[in-house]
Amino acid sequence: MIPIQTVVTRMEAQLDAEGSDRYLFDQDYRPAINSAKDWIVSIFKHVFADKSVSEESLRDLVYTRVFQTSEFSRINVDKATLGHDIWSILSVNPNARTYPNSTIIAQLKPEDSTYRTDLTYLDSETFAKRLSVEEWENMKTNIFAAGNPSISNSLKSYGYVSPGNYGSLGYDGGGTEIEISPALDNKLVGIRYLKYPNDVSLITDNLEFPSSLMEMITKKALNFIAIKQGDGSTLYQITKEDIGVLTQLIL
Amino acid sequence: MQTTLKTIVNDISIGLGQITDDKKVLDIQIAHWVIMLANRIKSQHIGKRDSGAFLSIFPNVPIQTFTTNSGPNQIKGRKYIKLPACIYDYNMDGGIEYMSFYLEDYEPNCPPPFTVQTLDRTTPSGAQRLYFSPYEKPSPNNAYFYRAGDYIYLLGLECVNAKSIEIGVYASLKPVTDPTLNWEEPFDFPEETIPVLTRQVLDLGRFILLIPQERVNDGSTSSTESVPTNKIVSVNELKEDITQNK
Repeated sequence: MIPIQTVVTRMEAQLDAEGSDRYLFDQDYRPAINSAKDWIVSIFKHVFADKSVSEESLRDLVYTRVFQTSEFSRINVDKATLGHDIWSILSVNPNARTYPNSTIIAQLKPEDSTYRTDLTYLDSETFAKRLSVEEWENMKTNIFAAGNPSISNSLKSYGYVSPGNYGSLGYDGGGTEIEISPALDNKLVGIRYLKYPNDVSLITDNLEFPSSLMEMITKKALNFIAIKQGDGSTLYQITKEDIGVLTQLIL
Repeated sequence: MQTTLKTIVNDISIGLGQITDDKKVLDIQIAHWVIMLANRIKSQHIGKRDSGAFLSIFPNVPIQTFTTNSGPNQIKGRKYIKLPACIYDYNMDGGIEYMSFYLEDYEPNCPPPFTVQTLDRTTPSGAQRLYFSPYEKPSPNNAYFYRAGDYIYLLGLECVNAKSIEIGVYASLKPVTDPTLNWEEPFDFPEETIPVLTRQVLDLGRFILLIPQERVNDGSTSSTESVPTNKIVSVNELKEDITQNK
């Protein structure tokens, strides 16, 4: 966690605005910090799409939850279900072992999936490979592709397609759903995901990033302030260069 | 404890670095390579020695008769058995070690049927000659079989009501698509040739993973990619050959 007060103090020091009312929290620091947070989320999204990134660097945001699939092998991962937005799915683990060891529960409609708040994820022997929408259709005819439904022996491998909304007049999955193949009808699945970090409201809040990203947040927030004040000179150039260096390190 | 298919596949997947969630080669594909190459090595191994280590005996294969002609090799009115497993195609149907009548109960002090009531091999074209000799003529006491695809047709049993056959075969390994394949069961393969198998699969995997990235369609749309110009070179090709080929 990064205390917002620390970020603001560092920004004040670099702006040489200690004890000054030139920059206010509500008008300057908070929007800049929130923009910096969203910018970092965007940067990491590309990292997740292109190659693996260590979950360790975002440990404060890593959640593991247990879900029960619908009869269509889908899981609702909507904000309304979880209470927060998902930034990115890290892994989907079919046939999860849980504590306490639980049986499945009855679901009202075939399209219903359930977020099992009563269960803690322990482990699973396998994971599902993330597939693009094109790979999703293609894998059904290729036995060597993850998710192929025709393999039923111990060499079976799972795949899941990115979240999407499948709603219609006769189908209400509750919002955004992922789908797993081969079909898991009413089975327990563990999902590791990154929670989307909350917006900052007060100076006493904490930003849900690890301390190692403190300098990046500070520099990027200063960068946004530099843009706001139309400063095309030293401050903007310096922060831009710093951010470039830090981004290169991450990528 | 005998090595399992899982052990071999895990060993190779670690060796090829295919263990992460974005791996390019799944376990099933490595298993396919293992089975494909293991079949070649195993068939050579069996062909070189007289051993029962890999003989599979199916004691009670029912004798049937097709009621209609259908497709290739399904011929109406002829008695046959269906091969109970996919077998190696050795010369002169050597994948079938023996065939005999099967009797669950037989008289005490009598030799087991598979030692005396055996069937000899023939071919559809060679069968014609058998009827010219009273000593070779197909009959219940001197029955023959011939193979057509997955079916083993029986000669000499046309007028008797035999029910089942015992057959010993050299079966190939189950393919990855077989629903009964369990990669945690002992792998039916000579242990002493596993190093050869592992090396051959690693060579195959290494070659496939060396395919240049610009030749791989990763599903993304890009108009800036250059036309591939690199020559694909075998990982086993010698350096001097590469120079000459260019």
